[in-house]
Amino acid sequence: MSRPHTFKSKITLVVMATSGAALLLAILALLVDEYVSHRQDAARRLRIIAQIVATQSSAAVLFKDARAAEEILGSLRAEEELVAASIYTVEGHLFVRYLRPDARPEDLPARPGHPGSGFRDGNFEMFEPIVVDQKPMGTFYLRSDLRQLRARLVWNVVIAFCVLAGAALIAVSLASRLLSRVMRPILNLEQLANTVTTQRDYAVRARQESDDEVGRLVHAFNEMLAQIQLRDDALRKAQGELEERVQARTVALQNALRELESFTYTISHDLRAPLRAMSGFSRALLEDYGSSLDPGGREFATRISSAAKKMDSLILDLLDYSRLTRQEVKIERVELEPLASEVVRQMEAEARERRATVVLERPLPAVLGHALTLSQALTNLVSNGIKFVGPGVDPMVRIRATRRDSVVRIEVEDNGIGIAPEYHERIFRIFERLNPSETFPGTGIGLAIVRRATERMGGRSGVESELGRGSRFWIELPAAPEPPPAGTPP
Amino acid sequence: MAMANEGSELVVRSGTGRLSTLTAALGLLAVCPATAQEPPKAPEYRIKAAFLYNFTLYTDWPPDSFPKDDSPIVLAIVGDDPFGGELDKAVRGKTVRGRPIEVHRYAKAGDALPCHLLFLSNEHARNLPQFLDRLGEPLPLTVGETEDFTRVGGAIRFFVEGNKVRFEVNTDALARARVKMSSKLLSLAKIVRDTEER
Repeated sequence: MSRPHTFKSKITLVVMATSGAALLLAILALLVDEYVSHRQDAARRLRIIAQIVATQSSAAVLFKDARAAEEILGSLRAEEELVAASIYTVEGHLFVRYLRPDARPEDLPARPGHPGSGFRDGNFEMFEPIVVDQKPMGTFYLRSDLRQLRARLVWNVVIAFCVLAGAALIAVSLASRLLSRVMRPILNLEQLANTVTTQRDYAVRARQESDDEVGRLVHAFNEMLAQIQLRDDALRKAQGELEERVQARTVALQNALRELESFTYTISHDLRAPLRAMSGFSRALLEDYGSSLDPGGREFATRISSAAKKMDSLILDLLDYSRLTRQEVKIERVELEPLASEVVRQMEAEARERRATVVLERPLPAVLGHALTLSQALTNLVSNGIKFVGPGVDPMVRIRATRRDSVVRIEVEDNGIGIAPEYHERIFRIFERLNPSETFPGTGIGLAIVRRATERMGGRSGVESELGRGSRFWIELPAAPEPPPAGTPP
Repeated sequence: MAMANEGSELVVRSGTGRLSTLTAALGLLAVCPATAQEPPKAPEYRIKAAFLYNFTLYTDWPPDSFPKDDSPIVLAIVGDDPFGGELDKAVRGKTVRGRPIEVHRYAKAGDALPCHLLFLSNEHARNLPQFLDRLGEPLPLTVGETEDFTRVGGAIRFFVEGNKVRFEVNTDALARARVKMSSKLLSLAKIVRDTEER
């Protein structure tokens, strides 16, 4: 037998077990009572019969009229339960006897016993004295096998079990129906709890159908839901407010940033006009009036020109950086090889000047990016590689690119002074300089431009380096998908 | 005692009804006489003497036939006594419903004093009608052995059938004697009436 799984079937089992046990006990008690009372009835009836026969047969015994006595005993035939009966004379001799067809003469006692009755071996036996005028005249004996009593007992047991089976059937169906009604609110509650859990809907409520324990449970459940709903609403509201606030701040910040950039651009742009004048007039002063100036004057003029030039390059870098931030960057397929070749070609003059060698390690794959922006970043990296070398060292710069899965890593390796690990991130910030500009001229914007450029193209940038061991700057960009086969129109 | 008698009579009546129905319906009986155990045959008049005593057990005489509560039941024999001493032996020391039994003998019918049961020898039995006329109230229960005894007004007649003593009862004569005889006894007897042709 499998164990019941549902709460309902468990309760049904409890109900069936208890009511079944009670019913079984009641039926057993009834059966026993029925059997005992019927046994007593049968005994009483047999005693009456014995008394009747004893009275009735007295004259026949007295007058030794065997035929009449036989007739009287013969009337006992109607009692099917009677196995045997007999009459004994007062002297104790067997006078007449009655035997049921299936009985044997040995079933009769040879001599009369003491008056009385009793059950023996499931049979009822009785000796009844035949008395006339208070004088014993003989003895009547009868024996019954109580056949009907037994048949009745069997029949009663059969009926009892039929009743039990019927009652069990009715009880099961009744319990099932009643339990369905009782269980419905609980099942509804379970369903509702599931709904709340899966759909996070705290607005639903269970219907309270009664004031009993289940009703109170439903009520408590609803209270709980109400509290959860209150908290959920508050939480949601707080979250919404927070988001709005963050958004407002973001917008304000973006506006401020845009204003700042616009301001920077404007300032940078406007600063160049007076600078050009300074540069141009200091050069004109040297060219046109250099001969009339003493060496000290020429020195000052040269310094003015040099400073103006330096400032101009600074402003140009700033403009580049600013433009990188502002301008739209359209991501497309960029063939790295021609782009890198162009960068190297443009750097030729500067490289020759610094006795530097720039090596392009072919082949270079195609990437997804923005040609102009990438070109700018690459130029800055090569320029740095040529610039930052120890004294008396001829710069050596190698450009290579490797593809790994969907990412292309472009590396610019130099044999320069290297960078201590703690500075690897700092150098990508704007205006961060590690070395005095007297040793290594520059604006401090170059690597910031590289970082900003790669970020705008959706890539990453970084450096691997140790102090005095050269540096390896890298840019990672998404690899361009394979070009369509030749002959196929784009 | 009277109650008990009524009760037993009632029971016997219903039992007799069932008995006759059963006997008619079934025909054969599983009852058989236990002849093997029967005691040796007694002489005829010893049996008849026992019968006379037995009659008193099942017969109720009218109360006015007894002067007192313990007055004896009187058995009278008129004429020759065929019982010898058997009747005296049969009733000696016995009582019926608390009454002793006395046996009186008379030579002639006219000598007979009031009695309860009167046995007439054959010679007197033949003159029964005249004899009965001469008897005063209350009439005794008459017993005889002549063939027409009950037809001519006698109450009980002994006869022998198949080597067994049996008796015949005229219920009209019982009524005349104002005697009540138990149906248990009547069920053993051959019943006749005054008008009945034998």
